[in-house]
Amino acid sequence: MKSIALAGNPNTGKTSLFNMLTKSYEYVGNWTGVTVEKKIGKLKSGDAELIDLPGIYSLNPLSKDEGISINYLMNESPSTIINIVDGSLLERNLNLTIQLLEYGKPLLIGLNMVDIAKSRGIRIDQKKLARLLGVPVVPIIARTGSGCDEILEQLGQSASSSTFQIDYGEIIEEAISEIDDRLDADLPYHHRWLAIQFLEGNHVVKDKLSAWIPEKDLNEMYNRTEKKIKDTGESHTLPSYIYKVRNERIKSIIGEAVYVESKSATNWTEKIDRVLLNRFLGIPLFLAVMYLVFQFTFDWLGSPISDQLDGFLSGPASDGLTWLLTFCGASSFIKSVVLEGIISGVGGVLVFVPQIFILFFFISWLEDSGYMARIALLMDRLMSSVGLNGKAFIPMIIGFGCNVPGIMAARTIEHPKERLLTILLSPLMSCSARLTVYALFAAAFFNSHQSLIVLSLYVLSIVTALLLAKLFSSTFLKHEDQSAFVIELPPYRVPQWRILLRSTWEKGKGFVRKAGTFIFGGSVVIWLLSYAGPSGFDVEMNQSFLAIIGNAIALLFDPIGFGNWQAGASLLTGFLAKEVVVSTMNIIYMTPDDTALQGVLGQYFTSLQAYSFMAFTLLYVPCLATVAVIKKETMSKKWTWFSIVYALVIAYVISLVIYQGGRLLGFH
Amino acid sequence: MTLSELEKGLQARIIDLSNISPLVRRRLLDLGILEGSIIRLIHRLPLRGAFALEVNHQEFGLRYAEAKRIEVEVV
Amino acid sequence: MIANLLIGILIFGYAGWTIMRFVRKSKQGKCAVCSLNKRCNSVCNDPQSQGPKTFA
Repeated sequence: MKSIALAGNPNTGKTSLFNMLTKSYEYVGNWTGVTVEKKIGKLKSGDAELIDLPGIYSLNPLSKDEGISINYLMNESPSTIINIVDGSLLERNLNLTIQLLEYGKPLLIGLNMVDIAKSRGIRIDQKKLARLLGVPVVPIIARTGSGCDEILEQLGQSASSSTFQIDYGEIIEEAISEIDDRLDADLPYHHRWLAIQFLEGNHVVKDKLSAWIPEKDLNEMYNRTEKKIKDTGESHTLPSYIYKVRNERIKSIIGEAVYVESKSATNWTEKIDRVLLNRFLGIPLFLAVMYLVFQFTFDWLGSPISDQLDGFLSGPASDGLTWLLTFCGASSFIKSVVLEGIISGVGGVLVFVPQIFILFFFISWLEDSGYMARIALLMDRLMSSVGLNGKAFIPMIIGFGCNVPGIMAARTIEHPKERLLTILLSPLMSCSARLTVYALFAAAFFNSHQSLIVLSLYVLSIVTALLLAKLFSSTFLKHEDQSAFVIELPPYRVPQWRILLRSTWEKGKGFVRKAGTFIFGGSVVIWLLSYAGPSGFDVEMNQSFLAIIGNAIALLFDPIGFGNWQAGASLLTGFLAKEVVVSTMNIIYMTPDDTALQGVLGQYFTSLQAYSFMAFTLLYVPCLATVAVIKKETMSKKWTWFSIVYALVIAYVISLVIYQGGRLLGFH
Repeated sequence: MTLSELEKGLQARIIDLSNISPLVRRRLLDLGILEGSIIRLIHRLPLRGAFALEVNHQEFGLRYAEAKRIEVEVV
Repeated sequence: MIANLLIGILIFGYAGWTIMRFVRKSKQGKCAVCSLNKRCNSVCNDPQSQGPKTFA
């Protein structure tokens, strides 16, 4: 099957178009570096596959996500490339377009954001642009899908490569033909493209070239050419010379195909920024936004809906099931596994679906509005003082939803040590699975201040992460070399309902699916462990295998306030997925629903112990899926183990401080 | 003068980028920002925090430490 | 007691399958969720990010 690649600058709408052209849905947002992984989908017309690549500015990669795009172009062979171009930032975008033209595959330009350009008084003559570049140009609005049909139509026609070429001047052209001569004629690359990229300092291309030309010769050729360029006095380095020549050509293209009318439209983005990035209001406003999100998630909207759902599951739903089981003549064993195992375990987690969806809705809203990049900007000062980068705040906020995509989002951080630090600390972010534990305990012990208590845990997670960042970055992850922080601040836009709802659903469906699959399986196993014991089946809960396992580690938890086997068993199973903590508790305390469980918990925990337990659940070991991602992203067993061990240690220390300190202060 | 001394709302031309780190220079080039570009200061966060700047209708953020190393002249 | 046996097998069979699948998928990490995992040969084994390599 043909494969078609989507390439372009970051945040130009590649993934939006991808979602429109295929039947799939991938994650979109309004900041640089939403897509950090290549995505594949089948074209709606059915005859080709479409590959969505992470955004790049040029073919010479700086960060890990950019490397993925370049590696794709180097190692696979797309039959056509769709280059999405941001019409409002044409000059910058065309720099990549020209490199893609030189790549030599048939190219199709999707001209996006023409509306923004128009509002700035910029009018682009598409026909002229197409003629000057020698490739078709299709105007699109990726977010609404307009122009998709034309794209599909163009893709259906037989495409030929453009004949577009830039004359880089005698010195460079000489070097290009020298490389050309030394390469075999049957290589699957355009020699000219390889040569230009190499001379531009592209290390990925250089590595590739060194398979055919000895590295010594390559270096010699590079230095010789660079010296010649220096001697002309035109530029200090080869890359900047090539950039300059290319840029002159772009300017002349724009001069011919773009008309600028002076038009002073209101710049809403700047107006909004005047408030949101205000010297004094910026950070307080961000905190206020987060507080409002939690108010909605818990007090105002989420908890009332969850209570309704809880009532339904424990009332009509389980009554109906009991009746059905009795009708089928089920034995007490079957009844027990269904009602005390599955209903308690799965139901106990499912009731939090409303809260989780509401939280995801707001995270999606943050992502789509353009505020995300501003948060990174606001936080950079704080983050850089602990050896991190403002950009690391984006993975952290995504981590509030789920740590796995959060850790992957760290790919956009250019500096390897800052990236590693972000990966190691992201698991401390309180993900939605942990929310179930807070929701349960906060409702049981801190009913009148639920969102405040939960917010305090989120703050605890961030403060802990920052303190540890400082510790790590000033000891074993020390780096002297300058880090980079250049962040694009995209124009704000009003999120569309369609995109918001879709994005919320895509994030939340994993949680629902997990409840139906893994939590189901886990509940059955946990129930079985609580039902069986050394003396046989249907034993007293305290004599069950689960109690024996829990007791084995309970002693360890005594100093931090919850030395009972129930807590031990819940935390142990929670390593697989943190929602399981709630499932296990429901099963252990044999309560049909969370309201009843909240009552029972009061007999086993004091408020202080409950808070200590929540803090411990927040920080102790990343879940299994997160551990796997850390291993993949760091490619190191050592760092993976480190992330588990340090989390356990810090969780214990903090819970110890909370519990013993709280007791000293007279809490209980 | 340096970019860090630029007053809010004013425009300046970049004269010298050679003192900033190569990584940052490369990213600025990616955004089409080089010597000769006209830059405008939109915001400056407190405590030597980040700067919000604008070049060619595109907003971006930069650290104080980098802005201090960029030589500009007011236009 | 055919019904009991049937429900029992169904529940425990499904439970076992989901747990096995979960552990397997989790262990594979990102490439298991990536849609390219069958054909891709560049993401999963791409060279370690090469540090801040730039031109001056």
